[in-house]
Amino acid sequence: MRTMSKRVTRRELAAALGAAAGMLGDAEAQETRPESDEAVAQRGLKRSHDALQAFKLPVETEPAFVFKA
Amino acid sequence: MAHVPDDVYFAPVSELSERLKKREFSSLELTRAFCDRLEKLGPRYNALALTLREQAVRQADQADDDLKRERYRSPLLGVPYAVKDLLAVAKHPTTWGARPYVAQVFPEDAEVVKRLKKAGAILIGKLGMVELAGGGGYNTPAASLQGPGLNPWDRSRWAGGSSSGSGSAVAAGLAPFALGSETSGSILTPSAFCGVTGLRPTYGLVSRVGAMALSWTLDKIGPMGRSAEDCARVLQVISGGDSDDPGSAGKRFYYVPQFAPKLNELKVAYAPGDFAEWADPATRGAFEQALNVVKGLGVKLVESKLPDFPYGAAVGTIVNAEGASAFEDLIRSGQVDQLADKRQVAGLKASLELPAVDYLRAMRIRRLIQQALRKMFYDVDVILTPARNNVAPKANEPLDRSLAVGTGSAGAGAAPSGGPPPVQGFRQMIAAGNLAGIPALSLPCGLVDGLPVALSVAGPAFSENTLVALGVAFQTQTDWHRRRPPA
Repeated sequence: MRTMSKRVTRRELAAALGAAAGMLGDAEAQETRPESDEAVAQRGLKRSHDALQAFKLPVETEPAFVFKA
Repeated sequence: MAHVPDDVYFAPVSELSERLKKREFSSLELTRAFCDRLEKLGPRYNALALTLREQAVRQADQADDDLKRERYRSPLLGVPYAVKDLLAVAKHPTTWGARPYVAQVFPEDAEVVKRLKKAGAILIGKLGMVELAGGGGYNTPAASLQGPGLNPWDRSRWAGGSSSGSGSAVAAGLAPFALGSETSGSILTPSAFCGVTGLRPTYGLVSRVGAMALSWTLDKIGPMGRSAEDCARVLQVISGGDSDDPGSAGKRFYYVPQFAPKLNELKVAYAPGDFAEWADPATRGAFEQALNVVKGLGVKLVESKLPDFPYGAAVGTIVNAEGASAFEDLIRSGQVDQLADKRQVAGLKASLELPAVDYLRAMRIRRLIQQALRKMFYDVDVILTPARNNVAPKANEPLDRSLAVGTGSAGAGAAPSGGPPPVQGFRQMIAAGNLAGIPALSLPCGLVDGLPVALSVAGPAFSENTLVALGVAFQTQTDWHRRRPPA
């Protein structure tokens, strides 16, 4: 099996650790701060929108109600 | 005054009717006994919205007069019942379970109440419900004026929604039957969780005049009772055309068991995975036994599945759009903030911005769903599923933790977070059945750790007699519908 080696500079290491620490902080904050009701509602609408869009709808399909004069 | 024995509280309508005819007790005595019980025990389950004792006593007097003269107006003559507080009762508050409507009073009874009055049934009270029938997507059982609907089988559990009080009142023997309503799951869910029999009629079979509108193209009113036969007797009275209801099918239901199809000619579709994999592991044994009972009835079971459609997204979008329109004034006035469930407030507000094209796309997909189910019913007569795949959740837990509650209904089959689930078996049958406007019957089929589980049978539009025939046959072989919760 071939292995790859790359020398990491101290500056790169510090940047990587900083980014990881930042991500960890974000994740902790997300865990402790529950999503707002407004955000949940918006996310629900978006999810429904996406699911409806993903469905291939034949162009000739009429809605499931009929107007009668 | 004759003594009203305790066994009446759990007796089916047919038995109460016979005993009234035999003068074992009068309708007045029966009515007073049920009023006492409803007023005493109703608050225990947060089930009582309003007692109607005074008018009930007057109606019972008239019923006794008819019974004396052998003027049998219907099998419901002299029999008490209660209704979800979504139905208008003239000159009494109709709150729709929601704080902004505590002072709302209508001048006339809802059409179904009028029809039951004409049939001689005695209205004893109004029952708790999820506020606005859950139109904005509620996330807590406490989303109600009365507080969380508590389950008579275990008061730490939820009664289900949105017809919570109707489910718990019938289960606890506070009324022989009750009326509930369903937009997407609100009859079937509390019936299943409370261990009562619930019948969601075909869309348009029962007038909704005088009922709160949440979704004009989805709302149905139906009976919840002790047995399939009781539900059929009630449906016969409340069904029928109504020119004041634009959704009315102009048809009536007649309970004709003599003309029901023979069971050995019935083709019943089911998906084994619904019972063996989807159902909560604790419930699988009960469902398996129930499935064996159905097999033993002589029906022909065939494996099948729902066609692939975004059921949850379609029903959620339709309820959101129609609900936001129905409650637009409430939302824009800011009074919506008085609702108990903040998730529901946010859902209603967000739905005001829902694009018309999304609603129309959902309604176009709904047309295809309706056609696909109609086609499916060329090959099979009935679809059999677990009514819910779990027992009643805890009453003090958020529902997004204990159930995948779709927007606008309890258990619309909408997707839990993480995207739409693949359609497998008949797992999204509640959403599919409501989108197609077809009837369904929930039948208690077991107890798991002391909590009820239920089967659901659904059929094509106006196939209520077939569903009831299957329900009666199942209930002849089992006694789950006769079980009582602990005192």
